[in-house]
Amino acid sequence: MASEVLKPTNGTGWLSGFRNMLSKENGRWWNTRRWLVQSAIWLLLLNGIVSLPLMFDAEVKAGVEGIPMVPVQIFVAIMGAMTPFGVMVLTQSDIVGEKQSGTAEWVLSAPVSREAFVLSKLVVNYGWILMVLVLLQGLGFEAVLMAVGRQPIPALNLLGGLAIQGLHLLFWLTLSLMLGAFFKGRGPVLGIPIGIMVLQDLVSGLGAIYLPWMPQLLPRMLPELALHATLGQQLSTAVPLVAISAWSVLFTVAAVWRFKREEF
Amino acid sequence: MNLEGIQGSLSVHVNAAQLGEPVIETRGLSKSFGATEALRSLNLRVPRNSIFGFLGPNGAGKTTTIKLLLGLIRPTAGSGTMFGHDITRDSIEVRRRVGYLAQVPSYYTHMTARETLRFKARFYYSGPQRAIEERVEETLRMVELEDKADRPIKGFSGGERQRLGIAQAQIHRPDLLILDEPAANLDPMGRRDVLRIMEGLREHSTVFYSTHILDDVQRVSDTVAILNRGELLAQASIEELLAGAGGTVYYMTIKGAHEGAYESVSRQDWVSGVSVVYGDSRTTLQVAVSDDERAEEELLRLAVAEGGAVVTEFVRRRYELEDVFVKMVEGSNNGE
Repeated sequence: MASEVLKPTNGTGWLSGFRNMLSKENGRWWNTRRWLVQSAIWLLLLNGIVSLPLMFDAEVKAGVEGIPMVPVQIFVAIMGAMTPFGVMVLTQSDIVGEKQSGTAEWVLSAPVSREAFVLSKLVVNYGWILMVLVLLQGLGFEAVLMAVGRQPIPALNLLGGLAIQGLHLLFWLTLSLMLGAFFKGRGPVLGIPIGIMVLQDLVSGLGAIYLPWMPQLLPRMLPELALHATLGQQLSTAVPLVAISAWSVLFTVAAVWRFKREEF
Repeated sequence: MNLEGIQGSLSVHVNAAQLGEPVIETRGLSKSFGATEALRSLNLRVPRNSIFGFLGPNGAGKTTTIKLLLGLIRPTAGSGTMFGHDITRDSIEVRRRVGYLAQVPSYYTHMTARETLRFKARFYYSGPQRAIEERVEETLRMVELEDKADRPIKGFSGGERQRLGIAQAQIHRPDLLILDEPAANLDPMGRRDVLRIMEGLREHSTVFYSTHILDDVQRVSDTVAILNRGELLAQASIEELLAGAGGTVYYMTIKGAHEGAYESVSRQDWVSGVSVVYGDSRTTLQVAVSDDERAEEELLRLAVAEGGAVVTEFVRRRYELEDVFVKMVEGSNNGE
């Protein structure tokens, strides 16, 4: 017999089971040391690559002061180009994998809402992605700059740039979750974002001829804006920020809408 | 065998007063997947505190029904209630009172058995943490998994996974346990353990389980429903099903000419059917009777009275659930 009386959960709305799902999703990062492995991989990939040119940088050797333009450009560009693939790989099986393995069916036989199932994945994954793929890398870059004797990027500028990179990754994360809710196999969940990533340059190039506003609706603009923010420059436009936020909300709503109709 | 007409007589849908307030009640519940009708207008009534066997061959619609009840799929037509709650509209409320073991249970393999039970328990209880841990421990003891509680699930045997399945299904002491083929793929020891646990649960819960292992059903169930090709063929207590099957069958193994015995026995008005099974040097007559008393007195005498027939074996047997089941399903498949 339990010495204390168990308190039953209640509520039947979309929050039903949400807290427990958050804890479970968090456990997938924390208990399995996924956070540690991913941190190591991305520090090596991003800051490792950026560190190499800095070691042989003429400005560094000459003791030039100020924000080092070229390393910052390299860092922001590499982060903008590589981390979306990281998000795709990390989250491609989040919903599809659970549908295939039967764990989604098992979880949903408990009093948990389908909204809670999807949104817990979004919240927890995004939190860890921001920490591991964005914030930690930004701090790592500052450490590298200081280690080679260069002036660190002012904190607000760095945070502004990282926030835009974070928004960029939110687009890919919500897209991945939405595709996971719509499809039954991993192929489209991984293939469609890669296709978008590859084709968006072509599409925006062509679109710019006929629809000049079109490139601003695509995520490819965000790393460029992140560079402006990191260097403390004024943003040329805020339209991509609004557009990508809107896409992310739309993908999330679509993911929840579709998952609520899923049959197990 | 004398099972003719059994289907008609056993489409007995037991009267409500006899069963008490139902835990599950469905009305015309149907489900189609594209052009395939997986379930056709199911009217089911599961009485409280029963061990209800839901029988049917593979593809009969058992799992579909269970998934409909749990809100994992949506009905194409009809409706259902569990504890008076609508299975579609109030699904979360329904699931709060139900424990479920899937046919092929899946868990997060990075979790241990204890973590799995803790995770499941937190859907039903917000705390206190110590009480949750005690409940987990108590449940692990019940299914005899204490010594494996902190090992990752991926190393578990089939029987251990099934015991964990039962544990997670009843971590919150549900009013209703739904078990989809709980003893399938288990060795005899594993099956015995699962049935023992099920019997232990009946005191506090209603157990609704699907199976095609008919021996198990006859051992532990009190009420059964038989489903075939998405249609309910019968729903009754096991006693009613067996009684409706026509009672008794006698097996007579005859050495030598059996034709005379066959003719003589077949003419009796209390014999409802005779079938012949030919062996190497012997023949077995299966004689279904409607009057057991007269059969006991006269059957053997009639057989040996015919010249040339030597009865080497004479066995009386009641119909088993398997006989009833096979006959009903075959009858349904043949459009009877």
